[in-house]
Amino acid sequence: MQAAPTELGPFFAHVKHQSHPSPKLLDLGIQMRWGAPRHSARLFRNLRDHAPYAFGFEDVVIHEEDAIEDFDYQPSCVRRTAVGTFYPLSAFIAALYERRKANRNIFTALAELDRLLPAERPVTTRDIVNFCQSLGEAKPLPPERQADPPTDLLARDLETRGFRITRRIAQKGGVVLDIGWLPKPGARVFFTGILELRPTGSGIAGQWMPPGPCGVNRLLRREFEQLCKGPGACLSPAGRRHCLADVEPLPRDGNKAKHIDVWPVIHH
Amino acid sequence: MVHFGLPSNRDEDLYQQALYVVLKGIAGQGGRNPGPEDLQTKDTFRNYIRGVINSIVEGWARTHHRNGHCSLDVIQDIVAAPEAAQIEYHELLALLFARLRQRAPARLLPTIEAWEQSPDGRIPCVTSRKHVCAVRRLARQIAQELGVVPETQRPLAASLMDQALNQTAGEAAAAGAPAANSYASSCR
Repeated sequence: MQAAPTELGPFFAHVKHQSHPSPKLLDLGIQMRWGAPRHSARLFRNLRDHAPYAFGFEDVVIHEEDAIEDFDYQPSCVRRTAVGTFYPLSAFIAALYERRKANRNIFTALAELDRLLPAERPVTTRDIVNFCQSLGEAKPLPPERQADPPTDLLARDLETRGFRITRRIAQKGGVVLDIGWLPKPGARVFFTGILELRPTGSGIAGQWMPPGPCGVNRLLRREFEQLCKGPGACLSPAGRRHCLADVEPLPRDGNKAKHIDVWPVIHH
Repeated sequence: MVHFGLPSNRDEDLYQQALYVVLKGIAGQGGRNPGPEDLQTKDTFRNYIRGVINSIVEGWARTHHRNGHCSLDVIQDIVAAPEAAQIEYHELLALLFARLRQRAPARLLPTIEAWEQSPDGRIPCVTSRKHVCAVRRLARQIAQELGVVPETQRPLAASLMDQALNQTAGEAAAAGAPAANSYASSCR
């Protein structure tokens, strides 16, 4: 009989707070453990220079000594300090999965992380007005309640799994959808990807807008692709009406972009 | 932003960052400094801000690659291993900590002592994180001298781990026990 594969993580848990490594970095008091034998990393919050009160998943970083794998990352999310460089957690988690150093269900792992992280605090228009009126000296405003993204626009399997359309931008001949995943109503939205859809004579074709950030969004995108067979199948009937009702298909010659009706096969 | 595949809900963040870098530039603290021609009319300033925004978006979309680095995991795992498993590495550990104590300045000694007692093998933050980094740097240097963590980084460290895994697996097989991952499980 074959033994069940060991769960390699990542697992997240609260740990005792330590001193903040730098004024721009706060210890979150959360530890991530993964792999066999177990490795662990402390999570820190990278304060944005322009909006220190704002917080999102992309602001969670780990110390360079803990980021032991090869990985791609966005330098804009990196913080260099006297005690070393801190790299985005999202990029590191994606690398762990790609290198098979982590095998826990990504949805379970992110839901656990979401429970432990402080609430999301995006920059809003009110914050910008506040910032401009005070020439950058204003005290931060209290956070606004973020509305959950609308439901029933994606195919049933995707909706059940927690995927949502968080934004729709109409374009000439098509529509661009911001796809996100949230563990439960009211939770933070994990960015999944930008999906461009174009109605064609035979249905709907589409593509993910490359390259996108390096991070868990790539893992979520793969899960999304497994739940529906192609870009054309990802919308519900209500979603089609909502997203594509006012979109005029481009004449054949005008649409030079490569659009497909099945997901590309990506080899890792 | 959507053309770079970036989340479109960060546009306010983007505008605020653009304003911040311009304000910083005007205050002479780095950032972006608009020239006189950019401040002539509303349109020229708007065009300038558009350029700043494009530049920030390009920066957000840029990716770099980081190579895996020399990790102290092997040592951490040995430190964290139960006493029975440590016997094999006793000499190595004794040598490492002796050299560490010999070379480290007095301010690092509490951190080194706490590391030796650490249940999970990680270097705990006793005094300051700077001290943790300093101990880590020194430990890596010594570990390289001892041949535990090679200068070529991961491959040899990984091979050492494989060697330990194979050895324990072999011993376990000889004792009739299941071989899979026994070193790993003994570590934690």
